Amino acid sequence: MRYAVGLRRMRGATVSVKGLKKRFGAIKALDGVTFDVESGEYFVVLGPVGSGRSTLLRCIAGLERPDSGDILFDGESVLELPPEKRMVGYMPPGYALFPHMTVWENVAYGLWIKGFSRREVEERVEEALKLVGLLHRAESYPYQLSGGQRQRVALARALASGARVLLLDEPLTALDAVLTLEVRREVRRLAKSLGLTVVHVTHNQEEAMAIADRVAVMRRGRVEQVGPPEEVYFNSATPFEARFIADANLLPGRLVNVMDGYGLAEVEGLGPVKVSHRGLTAGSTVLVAVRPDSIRVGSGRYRGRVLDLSHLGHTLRLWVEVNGVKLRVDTEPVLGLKPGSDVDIELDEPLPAFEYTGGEVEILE
Amino acid sequence: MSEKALVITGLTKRYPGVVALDSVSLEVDRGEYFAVIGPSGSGKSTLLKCIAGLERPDSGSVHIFGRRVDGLPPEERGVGLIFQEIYLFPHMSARGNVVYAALARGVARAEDVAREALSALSVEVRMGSLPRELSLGEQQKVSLARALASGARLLLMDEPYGSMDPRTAAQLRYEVRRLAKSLGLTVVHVTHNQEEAMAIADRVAVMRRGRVEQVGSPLELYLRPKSIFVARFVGGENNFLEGEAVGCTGAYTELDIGMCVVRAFGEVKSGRAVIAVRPEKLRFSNEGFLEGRVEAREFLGKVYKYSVRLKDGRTVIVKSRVKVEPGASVKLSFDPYDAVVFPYPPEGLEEAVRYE
Repeated sequence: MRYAVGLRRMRGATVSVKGLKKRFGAIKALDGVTFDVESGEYFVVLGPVGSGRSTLLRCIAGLERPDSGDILFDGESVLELPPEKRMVGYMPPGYALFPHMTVWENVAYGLWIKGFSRREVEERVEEALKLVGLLHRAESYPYQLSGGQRQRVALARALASGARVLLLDEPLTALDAVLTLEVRREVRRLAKSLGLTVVHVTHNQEEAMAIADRVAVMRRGRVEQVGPPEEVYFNSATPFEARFIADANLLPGRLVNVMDGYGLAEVEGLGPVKVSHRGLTAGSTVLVAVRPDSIRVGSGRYRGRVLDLSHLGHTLRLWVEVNGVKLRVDTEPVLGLKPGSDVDIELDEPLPAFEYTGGEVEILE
Repeated sequence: MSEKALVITGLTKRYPGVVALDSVSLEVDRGEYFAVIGPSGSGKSTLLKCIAGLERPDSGSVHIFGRRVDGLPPEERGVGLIFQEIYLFPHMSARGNVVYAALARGVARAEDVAREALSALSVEVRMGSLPRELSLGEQQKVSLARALASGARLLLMDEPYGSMDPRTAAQLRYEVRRLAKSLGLTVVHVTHNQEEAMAIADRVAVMRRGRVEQVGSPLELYLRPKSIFVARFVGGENNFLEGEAVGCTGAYTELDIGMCVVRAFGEVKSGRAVIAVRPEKLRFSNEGFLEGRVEAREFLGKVYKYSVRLKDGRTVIVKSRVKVEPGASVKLSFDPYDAVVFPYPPEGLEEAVRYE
């Protein structure tokens, strides 16, 4: 019996990122990023284009050198290690398979480059392809595979060299919607069964929520919040997050009354609404975040008119005008709603209120 | 001015060995955003080509704004064509491309018309750019502006966002819908992407094997599908439960599904039947009639998505705002109004929902 290669025996490394900074000319891609990922954790970095998430991943992979700060695997700095010595599996966006190579050759290529013996290459490729269930397609070319299968080949490639940490940059964007759902589940299951630590970068909030143990929200080179998906979704730390993650309506208002536990904010068009004020004082100018799914349709104290609607699978997105205020509202699909319909709506109070410091709340970049 | 923007009657088109269009009839209202969806090979692109004049149907007629056009060449039909591949003149600026279209159609004040069309699509600032300097989304907007400038009141689009990344496509689709609405344009949009069609269309036609399976608003297709195929093809996940029809009362059918008798909308007098019920229409309830155990949970943001193994071994998907722990025993119910019943397909369930 051959000696097992042991992809299955790897234990995921802990990953610590400490005060990471990286500048490209005038742009601060990373502006002091700090977080810790546990061994075997599925960690998702969620942020818009330009937030620094890809640069962060490339620094961890060793493809980019940070200007300052440190990256530790299992407590030891890897900054001085070249990419191939870090034991990371890195999957770039689009996962660029070589079109002229078979599945087998695509997975083996990196191992050849790293100088593994012929026998080791064979064993590792075989095991990696078995793990993703594609050993029977070893002789196929990428164009003969479905999108989901290509994605699994890329994953096998990232796994083959015996990674302790899997780094995935937008691994699901090239797939269509139905496939995305299946593949993301499979990727998580595989990582968990191997005990790998995963850092997965995406702009897609639903993907992040569905797959992560914890989520880090990035914006402009900084981490705004780290927490379990539900905490990040329901208790966003900033208005940017509430908008980016939950597509919240951000309504300017004034905190008029502060009591124990909650306050009252006067919001244009909606009148007084109950808010959680997080220590703000009466008189403060605030932004009240109203998530589309925290507005209930059917009955309530506001009468609105449906301006337009969009059917998005299990949710129906409505644009509703209430006293001149346009709100994004999500509800369960129900027959009979159409543009021009009158609807009664109610808000799930208390709503989060954030201090408003002026200016536009920039959502992207 | 009450005539329809588009009336198609009995359109048939055969290719050797295949019937691409099998007597298709459709009507599209003025100002309507109309989508045609279906798996590849269902005939949707052939349909669009017949409307545009790029294919000649074997029989049937096409009327655009009351005028019969099926004998006319494409350029005399007054339609704008938008495809996945974007054919702009590479050596001309965005403005040049649009002005050219207006001039070629003999539109008065071509320059002004072009500027208005481009600014309506908020690409005005980039009017001087060559196509290769623009993003795919911007290029597609220029080709839309070109169609507008040539005076088209009916836009025919075939996979217009097919080559764009999903995020760009998702933004652009709303922009284009808004624009079409504000300019009173009629749009016929063909796509294999049912999600896209459901999100933006006023009405959708679902095609399969050269025929129209159903025409309706996205909500009607989603909650009142007329065939198992439509129930499966549109709207993402759906639950199917098989059973035996045991009687009808009013608009509802009673169905013995083994563990209990349930009611669902629609009439099937007797025999094997299938009900379709959407995941968000299954509710956790103490009085629930479907008993099972939660196998897996995913947080999707707005809702939790559950996989629930029923007592008889069947698995259903549930989407709910209620949080339940994996492993918990649960009872589920649904409102009969939210479930639709179909006779069991003679060709089998698998075959009935096959996309091919």
